[in-house]
Amino acid sequence: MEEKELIKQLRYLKRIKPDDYWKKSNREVLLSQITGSFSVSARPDFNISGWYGGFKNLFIKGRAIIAQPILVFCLAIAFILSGGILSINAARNTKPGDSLYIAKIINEKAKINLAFNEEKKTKLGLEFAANRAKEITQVLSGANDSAENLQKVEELSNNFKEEMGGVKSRLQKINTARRIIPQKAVLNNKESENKIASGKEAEIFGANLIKENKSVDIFITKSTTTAESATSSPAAATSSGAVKDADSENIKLVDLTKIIEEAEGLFNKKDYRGAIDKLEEVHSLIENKDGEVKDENEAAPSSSPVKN
Amino acid sequence: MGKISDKIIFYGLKNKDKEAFIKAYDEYADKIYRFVYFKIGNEEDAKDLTSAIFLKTWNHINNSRLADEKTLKALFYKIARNSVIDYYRSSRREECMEKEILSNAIDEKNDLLNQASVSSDWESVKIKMLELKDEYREILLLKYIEELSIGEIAKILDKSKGNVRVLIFRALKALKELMN
Repeated sequence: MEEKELIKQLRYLKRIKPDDYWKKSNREVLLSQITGSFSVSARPDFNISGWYGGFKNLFIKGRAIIAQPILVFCLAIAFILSGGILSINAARNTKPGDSLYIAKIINEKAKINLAFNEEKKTKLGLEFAANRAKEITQVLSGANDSAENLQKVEELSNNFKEEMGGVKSRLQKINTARRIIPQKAVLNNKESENKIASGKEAEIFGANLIKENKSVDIFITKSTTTAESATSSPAAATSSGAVKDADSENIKLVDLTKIIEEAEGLFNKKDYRGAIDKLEEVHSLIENKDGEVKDENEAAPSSSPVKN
Repeated sequence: MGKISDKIIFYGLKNKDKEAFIKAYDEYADKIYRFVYFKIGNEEDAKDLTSAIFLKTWNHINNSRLADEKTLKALFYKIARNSVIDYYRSSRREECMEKEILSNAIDEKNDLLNQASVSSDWESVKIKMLELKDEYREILLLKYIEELSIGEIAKILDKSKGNVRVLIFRALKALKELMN
């Protein structure tokens, strides 16, 4: 037999097939088997472990339904916040005309509004005024002396003056607030001294009236005066201390105002670097003062054993 | 069957489509039966194994995530080959595999001889095929009966194309010698 004939005969072997009846019945059997495997896999938990399984299933599904939106919401918030923080950081060294400059200004305004006391606001005002001066130097450092740049410088100068005006008014506020406190302290001191004096008079007056108990009255007078002097002494000390502090604060505030005026003068003379140095000096003085105040507060408990 | 329709059925099976399973069965039932029959030489066992192969293929497609087989055809034949190996292992007939096939072939030959005459040449080829070495029988079946390409056979048998060509040549030569 030749090869071609052999191959032809081999191809005839395709006739070998299972009978049609078996094929058909086997197909039905297989179909029922794969359908059975479907129903087993799709069977819910309710049938397996009753109500507990069903509840568990529901809880897991419910948790997924709730957890997914929360997760998405948290991610969105985190994304927005991180974007904001990054943009503020990126805007830190911008100058007028940059796309992120507006973000810097908004950030500054927000910081001022969120500051809790006048001193903090003053410090921030000084910082921002120094920023304006720096921005002017940045704008002028560019070789381009165009009308646009000059306009920017003018705007920045106005902003600088606004900031300085704000700083001055805040310093004024601080000054007036500190004057009121020592005055109250002085008044309290005077009142307490008067009370002591009237107390003495009353005791002496009482002593004159009852001569039999003179020795006792004198003793009471002495003791009360000594006691009162003992109790009034810390008040007097604190009030006198407050007066001294207020005086020194007033001196400091006067100094600060002077330096600020100097800075303004330098700014008007277009010595921006000098103005920035002066503003930084004021800033550091305020910070040092805070340090001193903190030290005094820290020292106060150890220096007040008078009540004991 | 075209490659595209083969792929459509494959993806249908992946999506647990029963219609796709019916199509795959109608398309491959004869081929797989024939393949198994020439491997074991017994009609009844071949039917049982064919049925099992379809179920195994269904489970394999739905349970394994790795689409290691690119065509449904290659997957069916691979599973069929492994099922035949398992069949011999499980029934501890591995040692006498060749003997059994041979005896089955002889029985069939005797049956045929008992008939008035061998009705045609293809039936004698069938008998001689069963007498061939398993490796040769398999490759002749895939090449000339199922008409698979060299590439497809290489994929099913995990052999190189060159190796497949050599095997086909030797198998054909061996069958020719047997026929003569």
